[in-house]
Amino acid sequence: MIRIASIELTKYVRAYVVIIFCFVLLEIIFLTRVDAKNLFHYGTFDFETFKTLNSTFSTLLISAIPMTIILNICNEFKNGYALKLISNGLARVSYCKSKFILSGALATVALLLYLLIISYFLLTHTTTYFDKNLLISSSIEILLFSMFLSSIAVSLSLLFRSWQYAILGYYVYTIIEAFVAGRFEEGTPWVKYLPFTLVTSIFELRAVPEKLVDYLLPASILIPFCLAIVWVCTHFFKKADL
Amino acid sequence: MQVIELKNVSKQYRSKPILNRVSFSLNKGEVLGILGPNGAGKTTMLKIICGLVKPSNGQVVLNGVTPTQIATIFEDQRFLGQLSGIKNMKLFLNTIGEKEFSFEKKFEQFGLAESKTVKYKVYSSGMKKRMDLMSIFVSGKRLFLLDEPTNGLDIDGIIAFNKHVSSLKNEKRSFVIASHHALELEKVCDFFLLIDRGTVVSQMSKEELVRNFDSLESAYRSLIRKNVQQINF
Repeated sequence: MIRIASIELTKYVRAYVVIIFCFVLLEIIFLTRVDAKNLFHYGTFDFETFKTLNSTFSTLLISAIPMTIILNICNEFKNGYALKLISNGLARVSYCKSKFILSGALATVALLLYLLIISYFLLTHTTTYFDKNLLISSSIEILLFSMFLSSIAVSLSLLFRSWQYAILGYYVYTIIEAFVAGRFEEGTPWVKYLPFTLVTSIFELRAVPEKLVDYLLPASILIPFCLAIVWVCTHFFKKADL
Repeated sequence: MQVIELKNVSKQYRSKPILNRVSFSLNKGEVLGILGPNGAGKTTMLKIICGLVKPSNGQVVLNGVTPTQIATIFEDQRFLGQLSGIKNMKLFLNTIGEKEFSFEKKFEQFGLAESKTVKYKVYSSGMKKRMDLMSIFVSGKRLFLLDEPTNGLDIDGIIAFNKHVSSLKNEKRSFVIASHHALELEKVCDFFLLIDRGTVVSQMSKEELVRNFDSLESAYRSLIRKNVQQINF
C-alpha cells in the first residue's frame, strides 16, 4: 500500500519540483535579482536578509503547490484516468478524499523542502541573526498554509476539471484580492482580514502572532473559508456529469 | 435474475435530447450488444449505468451488483502516460480496491510481456486497448460495460477478447457491449439493442435475429439505416 501511495506521490513531487524551479527562475530573473545578488555576494545575512530569504522561499514553496495540484488533477480528468477510476467502482467521495490526503502529503513535502533549503543556507552562509522560534513558527505556518492553499486548489480542480478554468479561478481570485488589499489597505480595516491577504501578511512577518490566542482570529477566518470552498466544490463534483 | 434494469431513462444536455425513454433489462450471465450510428447515445447509456452521468429522467436499477462490481472500458479513458504498464496496473487495481496478485503472467497472457516496463504513453493504440481489457478481465467484477472494446485490436486480440467474454459469461458475469462492429457483436452477444437518436428502435434475442434477418448488419440496415441521412465522404 505504501509502495502504491509512493508511486502517486512521486508523480506530484516531480511536477512540484519542476514548478518550484520555474518559479525560482522567474523570481531571480524578474523580481529579486538585486536582493539575490547581494545575498550571494556578501555571504553574510542579518535579520532583514533572513526575513527576505524566509518569506521568499516560503512564498515560492507555497505558491507552487496550487499549480502542481491543479495541473495534476485536471490532467487526470483530461486523459480520462480519473473517470476510469470512478467508472470502475471508485466512489467519487473516495476519489476526493484521496486527493485531499495527497495534498496533505504534498504540504509535508513542502515543509521538508523548506527545512532543507533554509538549513543549506544556514550551513553555507555566515549569519549574524538566527532565531530558532522564528524557524519553528515558519515551518508550522508553511505546513498549515500549504494545506490551506492545496485544499482550495484540490477543490477548484474537482469543480472545474479543466486546468485553464481552475488556474483562472485560483489565480484571478488571489490577484483580485491582492489588488483590493493594495488599493484599500489604509482606509478599510477589514481588508487585512481577507483570507489570502491574511496568509500573505503572516508569511511576510508583518503580523506574526505572538501568543497562541493570536492565532484564533486568523484561524476563525481561514478555516471556515477553506471548509466552505471544500464543501461547495466537492458537493458539485458529486452531482456533476463526468 | 435481472442484473440491471433501465426504466424510461432520458438524458438531455442543455435541452438537447440524447436519450429518450430508454428501457431494457439484462439478466445474470447474459451479453447485450448495443448497435447504433454515431451520436445515437450508446456511450451516454453506458455512462448512465455506471454512474458517470446522471439521468435527467427515469431510473437505473442495479440488482445484486454494487457500483464497485462494475467494470468499464470507454474510448476517452486512458491510463497515466508517465508510468509504465505494470506500475499503472498496480496503481489502478489498488485504487479501485482489487486484491494484489501476480501481474507477470497476466502481461504475458495479454501479449504485453515485453512492454510491461515501458511507459504507457509510448504504447500503440492496440496495446493500450489490451491494457484496458487486462485491467477489467483480471478483476473480480460482475458487470462489464464495454464501449467499442475491439477498436484498435488485431485479429489475435479480437479472438482472445471473444474467448474471455465467453468464459466470463459461463461464470455468470454479465456484459453490455456498445460497438459499431455488427459482425463482432453478433459473435458474442445473446441480445441486441438497436438505437437511433437516443431512442430504442428494436430489442431482439439472437434467435429472433436469426429468424427475421440474415445478420445483425441487415437488421441495422433495415431498421436504422433508412432513418439515417445518407453520408457521402
